[in-house]
Amino acid sequence: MNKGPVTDEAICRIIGSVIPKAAAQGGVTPEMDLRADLGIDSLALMSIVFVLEEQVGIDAFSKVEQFVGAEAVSDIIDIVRQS
Amino acid sequence: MSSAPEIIDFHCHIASEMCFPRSFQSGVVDNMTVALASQGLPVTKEKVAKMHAGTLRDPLCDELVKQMDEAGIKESVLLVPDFTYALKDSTHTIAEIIDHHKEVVDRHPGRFRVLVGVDPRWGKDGIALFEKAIVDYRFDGMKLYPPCGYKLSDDLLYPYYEICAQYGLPVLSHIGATSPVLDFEIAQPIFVDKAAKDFPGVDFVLAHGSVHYPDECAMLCNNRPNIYVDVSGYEAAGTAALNTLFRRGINHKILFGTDWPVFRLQGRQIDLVEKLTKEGAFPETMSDADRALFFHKNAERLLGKNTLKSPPAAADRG
Ligand SMILES: [Zn+2]
Repeated sequence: MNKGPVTDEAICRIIGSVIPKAAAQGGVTPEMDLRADLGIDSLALMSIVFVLEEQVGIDAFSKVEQFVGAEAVSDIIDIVRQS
Repeated sequence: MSSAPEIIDFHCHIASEMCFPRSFQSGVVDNMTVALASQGLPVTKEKVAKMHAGTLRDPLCDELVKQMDEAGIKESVLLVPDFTYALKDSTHTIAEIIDHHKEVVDRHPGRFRVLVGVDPRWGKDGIALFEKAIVDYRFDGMKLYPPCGYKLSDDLLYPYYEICAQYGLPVLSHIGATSPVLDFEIAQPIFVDKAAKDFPGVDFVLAHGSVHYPDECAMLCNNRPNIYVDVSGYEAAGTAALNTLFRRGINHKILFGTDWPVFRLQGRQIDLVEKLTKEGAFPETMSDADRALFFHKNAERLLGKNTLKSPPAAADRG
């Protein structure tokens, strides 16, 4: 199912594309906290999962519990890497 | 505030699918799907449902306790709405759900209180079940869910209120809209008024009072000594409404609550606590004493009237 290697930057860009504009302005980096730094709410987290699935080709929905527990951008990157 | 180990979270649920019938969850998922699809995302209801179900996996509250410790939450009040009369696709009976709550309370001594719900249309069996939960299980009060199809001042509820009056127990009710499979109009705060007037010794808590009908809820808090609100839902509605609520002169009536696991995708319990300060929920005029009322002292007062239990230790510390 995986469409090939995806870079950290690409994942950060995907996250940046679905979060509020103000939060995304300075760019998204792996060490950022999803809630404190990026203001991600329930729907935004779901949006990230949907876009990752479509654009990266991972089966994100078999990893739902990991996404529920994700704290930082780096956690999302780890989940994608394990796919 | 999050470092203080004394917060009481007055509004939580066990994160388990056994507590929420499938039709209830399906309605919640419908609303999420509409919101996500409107953003042009490749969404199917099944996928949203899977994500939502991912938040309902902590049936024994082990994860919740971990997050409470991290957030400085001493105790959480588990609410047991009885959907089983209104929604016939419940996987468990209300008696089984109540027994499961007892198991969780025993598993984590001192960490959980339970407000137990029984649909008043179950008749005498329901009253007996409620009384067993209060007297035998030592649960802490009543949870009501008017969207299931009854008003808070319905005569059928009076035998339950008698029991609450007898033992000094609070009644907490959901207020306002919820899953679209249930009724909204019947869940207005004003319907508590007759009951609150008839039972001055019972404290009534209007859940989500900073979000749903905030003006009516504040009016009732101002004018009936035994009416309170909890703030759960601020996570979605924003903290500006809370800031307004804290300037209405009813800080002795406002209870902290998160509605775990509803906002689990939005962060851990500590994030939800810290969000209050970070996003300006507390007006500058609000004293430390008022914050203590909000975070635990109001809750301690309400829970401390229970004549079947000794008062909570924290109430003695003052
Ligand atoms: Zn709730």
